[in-house]
Amino acid sequence: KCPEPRPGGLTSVSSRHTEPLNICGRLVRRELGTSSSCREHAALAHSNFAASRTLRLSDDDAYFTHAIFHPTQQQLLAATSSGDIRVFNLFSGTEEHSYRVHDSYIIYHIQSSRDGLLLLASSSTSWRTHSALWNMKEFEHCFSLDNEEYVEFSKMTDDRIIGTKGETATIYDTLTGRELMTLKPSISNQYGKNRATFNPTDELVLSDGVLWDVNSGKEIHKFDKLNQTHSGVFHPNGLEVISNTEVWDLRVFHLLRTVPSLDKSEVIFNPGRTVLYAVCSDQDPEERSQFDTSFKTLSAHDYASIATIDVKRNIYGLSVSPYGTQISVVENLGDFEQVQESCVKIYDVGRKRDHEDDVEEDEEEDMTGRSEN
Amino acid sequence: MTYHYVVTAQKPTAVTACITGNFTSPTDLNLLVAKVSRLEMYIVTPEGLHPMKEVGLYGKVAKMKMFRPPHEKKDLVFILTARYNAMILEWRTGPNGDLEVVTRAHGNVADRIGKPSENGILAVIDPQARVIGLRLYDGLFKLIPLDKDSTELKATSLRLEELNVYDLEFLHGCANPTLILIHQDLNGRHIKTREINLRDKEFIKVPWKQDNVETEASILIPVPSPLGGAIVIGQESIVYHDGQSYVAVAPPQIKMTPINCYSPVGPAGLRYLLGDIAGRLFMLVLEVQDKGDNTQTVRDLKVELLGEISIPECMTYLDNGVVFIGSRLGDSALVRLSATKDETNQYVKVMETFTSLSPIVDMCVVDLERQGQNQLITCSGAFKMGSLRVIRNGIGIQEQASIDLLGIKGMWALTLQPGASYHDTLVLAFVGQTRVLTLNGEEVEETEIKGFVSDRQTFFTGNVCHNQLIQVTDEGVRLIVRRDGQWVLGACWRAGGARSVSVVACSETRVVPAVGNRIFLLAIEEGRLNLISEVCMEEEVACLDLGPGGDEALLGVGLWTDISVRILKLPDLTPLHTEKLSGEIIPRSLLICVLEGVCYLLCALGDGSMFYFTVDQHTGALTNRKKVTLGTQPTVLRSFRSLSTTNIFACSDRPTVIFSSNHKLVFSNVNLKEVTHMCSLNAQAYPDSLALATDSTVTIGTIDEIQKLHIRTVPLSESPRRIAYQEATKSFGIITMRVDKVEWSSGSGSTAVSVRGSASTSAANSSGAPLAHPKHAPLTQPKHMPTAVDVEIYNLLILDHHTFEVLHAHQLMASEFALSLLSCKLGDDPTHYYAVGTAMLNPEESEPKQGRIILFQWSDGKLTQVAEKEIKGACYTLVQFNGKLLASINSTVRLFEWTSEKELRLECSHFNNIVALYLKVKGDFILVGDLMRSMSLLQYKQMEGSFEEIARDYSPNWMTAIEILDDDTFLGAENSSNLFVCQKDSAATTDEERQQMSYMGQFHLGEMVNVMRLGSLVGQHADTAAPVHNPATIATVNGAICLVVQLSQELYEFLHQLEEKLTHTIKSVGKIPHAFWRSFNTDIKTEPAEGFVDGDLIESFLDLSRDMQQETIQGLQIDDGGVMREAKVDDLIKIVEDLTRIH
Repeated sequence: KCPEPRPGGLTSVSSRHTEPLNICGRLVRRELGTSSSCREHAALAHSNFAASRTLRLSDDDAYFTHAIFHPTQQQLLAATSSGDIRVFNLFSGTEEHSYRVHDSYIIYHIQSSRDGLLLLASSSTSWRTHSALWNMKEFEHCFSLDNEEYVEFSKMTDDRIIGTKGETATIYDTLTGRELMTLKPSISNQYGKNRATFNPTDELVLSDGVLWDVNSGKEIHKFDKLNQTHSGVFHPNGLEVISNTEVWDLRVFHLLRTVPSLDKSEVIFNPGRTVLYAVCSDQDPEERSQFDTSFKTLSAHDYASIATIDVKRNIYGLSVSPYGTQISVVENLGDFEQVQESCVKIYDVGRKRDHEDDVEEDEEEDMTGRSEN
Repeated sequence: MTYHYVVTAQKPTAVTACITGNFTSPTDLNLLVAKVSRLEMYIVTPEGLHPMKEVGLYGKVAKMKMFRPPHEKKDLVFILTARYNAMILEWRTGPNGDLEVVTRAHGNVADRIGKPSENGILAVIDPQARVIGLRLYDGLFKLIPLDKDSTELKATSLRLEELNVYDLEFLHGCANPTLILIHQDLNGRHIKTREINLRDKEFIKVPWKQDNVETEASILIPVPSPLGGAIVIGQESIVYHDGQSYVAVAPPQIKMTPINCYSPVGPAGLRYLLGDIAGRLFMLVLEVQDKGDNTQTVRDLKVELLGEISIPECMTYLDNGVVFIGSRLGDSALVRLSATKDETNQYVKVMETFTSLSPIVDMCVVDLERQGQNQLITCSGAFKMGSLRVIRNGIGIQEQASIDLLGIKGMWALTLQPGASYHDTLVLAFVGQTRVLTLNGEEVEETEIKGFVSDRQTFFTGNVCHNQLIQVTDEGVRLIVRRDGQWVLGACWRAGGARSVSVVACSETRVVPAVGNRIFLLAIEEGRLNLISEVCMEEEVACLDLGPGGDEALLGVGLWTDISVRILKLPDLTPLHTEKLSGEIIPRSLLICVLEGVCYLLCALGDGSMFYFTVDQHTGALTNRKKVTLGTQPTVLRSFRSLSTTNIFACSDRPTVIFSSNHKLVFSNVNLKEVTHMCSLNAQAYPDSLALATDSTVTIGTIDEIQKLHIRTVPLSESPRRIAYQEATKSFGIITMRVDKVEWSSGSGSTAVSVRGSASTSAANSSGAPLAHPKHAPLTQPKHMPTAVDVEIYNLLILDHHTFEVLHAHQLMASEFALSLLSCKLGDDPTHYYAVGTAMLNPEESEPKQGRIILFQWSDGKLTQVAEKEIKGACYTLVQFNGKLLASINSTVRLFEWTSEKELRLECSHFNNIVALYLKVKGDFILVGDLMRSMSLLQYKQMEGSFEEIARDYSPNWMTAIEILDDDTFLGAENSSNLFVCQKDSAATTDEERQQMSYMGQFHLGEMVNVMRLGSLVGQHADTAAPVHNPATIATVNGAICLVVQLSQELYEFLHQLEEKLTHTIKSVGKIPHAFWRSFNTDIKTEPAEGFVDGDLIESFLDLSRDMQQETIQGLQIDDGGVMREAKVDDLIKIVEDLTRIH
C-alpha cells in the first residue's frame, strides 16, 4: 500500500491548523509568520534530559526526600529524611547551609512562596504528622500546622495555606496562621493520598474528590471516584481537573478523557504550562511500595505522551526550575527503609544525553566542550 | 552598562486586516487597512485610493471589525489586540480640519487564567450592533454589550459547551442575537446555533444545528436578510444552511487548496468573493428561487474561478468591481473585476500594487555601488510572491548623460521652440558669462539666443507669460520676445544708481529684483516690464522668493546683518511678518512652496543649516519654526516636480531631497556626493529628468520615485530562503524553495511538475537533481484530477549582482531542505566558495537525522561542486570563522577545517544546546542562539583546538535572531516579539557571575525578528550629529526594518525622560499605556521595558505642535557644556531630528 500522501507544500506552510512534526518544517513556517506556537517546540525540548549536576549529602545517615528550586536565587532547597533542609548553590554544587527544621521527622514535601521568603514543609510518619511554615531568611519558625499531613500555598498569591489531614482540608492565613475555614466532605471519598489544593484563581478548592466554593465554603460537586489514591489537581488552564488517569471538564463535570499513563502519578506542570511531568508516586510508607525509576513528560495541551525518561533509581521527588529550563530529581537507591545511595540530580531540559548522536565519531570524544559534572 | 535606542526605519507592510465602510464621513467610502500595529485610512475616489491618515497602535491588531450603531451615520471600528485590549474607534474631523482618531470606548478583556484557543481569537459583532462577541479562550464566550454612552468595554463570560470552535458569526434577522458556530468533537465537525438572552447574559436555546459537516469546514459566512442563514466553507464543499433548507455543492475548482478569506459583494448577500492560499480568486453566487409566498430561498450555489491574485490574508470589496486584496506574503493589490475574460483567461485585472517586504526571511547588507552607502537585499515574500528586494535609503539619481564644465553658478531649462511642451535649451551661468546649450535629441550643442546677454552672469532666466523669455543679470531685467520667428529684446529694466541687481525672484507674471536694500516689483506684460511698486528694507536683501497666489502672492525676503526673514504681500509689498533667525549666519537661499496643501517657507543659511516654517497664506504669519542641518556649505534650495508632486532639492555638499509625506517634511539623502545647482529638465530625450551641476560637471539624470526608503523588486515567483553576496565573483547566491505538484499516475509512480515558471525553472543553466520538465499548468482545472501532492524543491541560485539575472540553478535532492548559505574563503585556498547546509527531512521524525554541507565554486559561468560532507542532522547556520567553517548542526556547534585535499574535516564540537539555530562570531568568540535556551557565548581555544562555554543567559528565551553588538554586548530577539540585550561580565569576581550573562535591557518590539545584521542603511559619509554607535539592522516577519543603536548613559537618561513625558502628551489610540505595550511579555512573564529608548515615540515629538512640544518638555534639563539648564524646544528638535537621520 502506498504511504499516505503527506500534506506538504503550500498547505503545510500556510495552513493555520496543522503544525509539522519536524522542527525544520516548523521553522520554515515560523519565518513566514504563519505560526509562532511553541507547543510542538516544547514537546521537542521535553523529550530530552541531560544530567548537568549531581548533589549529594556530606553525611550518610540520611537521604533526600524532596528538592525544589529556590524561586529567586540560584539555589536548590533539599529536604532530608532526618528533618533537615539543605541549601545548595546551583553553580558550584556546594552545600551552603543546613537547617534542622523538623526534628528527625521525614520531610516529604516542601514548597516555597513565590518571593522566596517563606517555606512550607510537610512531614509525616506513621506516629505523627507535622507541618510548619518557616521564614527562609534565617529559617525561623513562623508557626506549626500540627496535624496537617500536607500543606501548600494558594495559587494566585501566597496569602493562604491549605492543609490536608485525611479527608479534611483547612485553610489558614499565611500571615497569622489563623484558621480561616475547614472543608470536610459530608461523605468521604477516602482517597489514599488526599492533597487539598486551590484552583488557579483561588476561588475553588479540590479536596478528597470534592469541589468546594471557597467563598461560601459549600460543596459544589463530587467527582466520581475512579481510583483509590489521588483526589486530583487542577490544570493551570483552570478548565480541567486531573484525577489520576481521569481528566474532568471543570465546567460541566464531564469526563474529558482518560490518560492511562498518568496512573498513580503525581502531576507537575512546567511554568509555560505547555508540558506536564508525571512521576509515579505510589509511595505509601505503610505498604513499603515500590518507587518508579522513570518519569514521563506529556503535552499539557492534549496529554499526548512526549517521553519516558528512565533514571534507573527510585524517584522520590521531582521539581521544575522557575523558568522550566531545569528539573531536579531526587534519586535514591535501595529500599525505602534502607536507602543505600541518595542524590539530587539536576537535568537540563531539552539537552541530549551524552551526545548520543555522536557515538560513531570517536575522534572528537575527548574534545567536547564544557562537559557536565 | 549599555543603553540602546530602537527605531523603525520601515514600518511593517504585511496587511493583516481590511474593511470597507463610511468611516470619515457619512458620504466618504473608506478603506481601512491594518498592518500589524498600524492603521491606514484611505478614501476611495474615482482616481483610486488616497491615503488620509495613518496611526500607530500600542498593540498588534488581532481582529478588526466595523459596525454602525443605530442613530449613527458613520461606521465605527472595533479592534482587539493580541494582548486583549479592546477598543471602539471613530475617525472624526476635528475643529481645525484634521482627521483624528477618537477612542470611543476601551478596556482590557483578558482573563487571568484560561486556555487561549489554538484556533486563534474570534470576534464577531451582532448585525444590529447590540453586542460584540469574543472567543478568546476555549470553552468561554465573552459578550460586550454595545451601550451607547459607555466608554468602558467590559466583557461578561458565558460558558460555551463547545470547546473546539473554528469559526463563529452572528446570524442576520434574529430577534435575539444568535450565534452560529463550527465546532469539532470526537465525532467530527458540526454547526450549531445559539440564541443569547442579552439581559440575563446567557445562552437560552439552540434554534437549529447540523451535525457532521465537512471535516475541514472552518469558515462561516452569515447571509444578510431576507435570506438569512449561513454559508459553510469546507475544503471540498460549500454548504448553505438556514435551519430549514440545506444546499450543498462540491465544486472541483476549490478542491486543491483551502479557502482562507472572503468578502461579500454588495449588501444583497447573493455574491461573495473567496480567496484561497494559492492566491486564486473565486466568485460564489447564491441562486435563489421564489417560494411562492413572496419570500425567496436558495436553490443552488455556483462557484467560478475569476483568476490569480496576491496570496490573500484578507480582502474587501470596495465598489464598482474593485477589490482590495491584503497580503502577508507579498505585495497587496487593488484589483478590478471585469465581466469578461481577458486574453489570459482572467476576470481580474490589477489596478495598483502596494509594496510589501513581508515576510523578510533573510537579508544581506552590501555596498554594491561602492559609494559608501549600504543597500539591503532582502529575501521577501513567499511562494508565487517570492522576491528579492533591493532597499536603499535615500533617493537615487540614475545618470543619463554628463557634460564636463567648470565653475557653474546657475542653471535653467527653457523651451525655445514655439508651442513645444518639452525643454530644448539649457542655460548655464558662470562668473561674468552665460552659455546656452541646445538639446537636440541626445545631442548637446552650444548656441546663442538673440536678445540674451552672454558676457554677464545670469541670475535667473525662464519662460514667462505671453511666450516670452526673461533674463536677469546684475545690470537688470531683460524681456525677450518672439518676433517674426526670431527672439529679440522686447523690453529692459535697469535699477537706477550705482548698485546693481544682487538677487531676484520670478514667477510667470512677476519679477522681483532686489538692488541693495531696495526691492522692485515688476509686472511682465506683453513686450513690456511695468514697475508696480518698490520698497526699501532696513538691511540689504540676501535672498528672496515669490510664493504662489499670482497678483496677491507673498514675497519672502531674507536680510543681511539683522539675519531675519520678512514676509511682504504683493502688489504693494506690504510687510506682514518679521521673523528673526538666531545666530550670525547669513541666509543664502529662500523658498516658498506648497507641499501636500501646506505652504512652507524654507530658508537655508550659509553654514548648511536650514530653518523652515509653515506660512499662513492670508496673514503671512510664520509658525512651527524648525531647524535642520543639511550640510556644511551654503545651500541652494530649488523646487522641482516629479510624478506630479512638488519636491525641493537642497544643493549642497550633502544633497538632500525634501518632500512631504503624511503632512510632514521628510529629508532624504541623494546618492550624489555634491551638487551646487540644479533644475528640472523635461526634454524629449530626457523626459522627467533633473540637470545637476557640480563644480566640474553637469549631469542629466532621472530620479527615483520620491520616498525615503527606495525599494526595487526582483521577482522570483518562488520562496527565497537565504541570501549571500560574493564580491569576488560579482554574484549573489540565494536558496529558494519551489512548490511542485507530484502527480500520482496509476501504478507507475510519480513525477514532480512545477506549477508555474519561476526563478529556478527559468535559469540560464541548471545542475543537480533531475529537473522536472517545466509544464505550466493551465489556469483552468484539468477535467480529471489525479491525487496531487505538493512537494518542496530547494535550489541554490546564482544571480548576477547588477542585473539579478538567474545565471544558474542547482537543484537539491528530493526532501532535502537547504537551511543555510554562506560565501566564504577557507584556509590558504584563494578560491571563494558558496557553502550550503542542508537537512534531509522526514516528516515523521521530530528532528532531521541527516544532512549535508556542500561547497560550490562559481567561476567562468560554471557552478562546480567542490566538496560534500555528510552530517548527522540539520545544518541551521554556516559562518566563516578563523578561516574555517563553523556550523550549527541540530544541538551542536561544530568547526570544520578545510584541508589541502579540499575536504572538510571536523576539528571540534560543542554540545550544550537544544537546537543551535543561530551563530554569530567576532574574533575568537561565538554567540549561539538556541531554540529555547536563549544565548550562550563560546570561546575558541586555538591552541587546544576546542570550545569553551564562557557565559550563558539562563532565561528561557525562544530565539529567532541574535547579533554581537560589541565585544561584551549581545542582542537577542525571541518569538514573543521581544528584544533583549545581554552582557558578559569578564571582570566579575566569581565564576558564577562570569558564567551568567547579565540583562542590560529588554523591550517589546511587537514584531517577530527573523534576521539581524550589523550596519545601517545610512552611509558613512552622511553620518549625522547623533552620538550613536554600533548600529544593527533587524528585519521582521511582517516586513518591518528596525535599527538598534547604542547610546551613552547621559543621552539615554535624557531621552528616557523625554519618552516618559511624551507618554503623557501623546494620547494613545485605544488608551493602551505605552509602558504596557513595550513591556517584555512572554507566556511566563511580563516585565517592564528597560535599557531601551523607544525611538518611534521619541520621533513623534516632531509631529507635535510647538505648543505641545513646549508643554512636553517642561522641566526637562539639558547639559549645556557642563552646565544644566532648562531645555528649549529647539534643543529638542535638533536632538530628535539628528536621531531621525540615523535611519
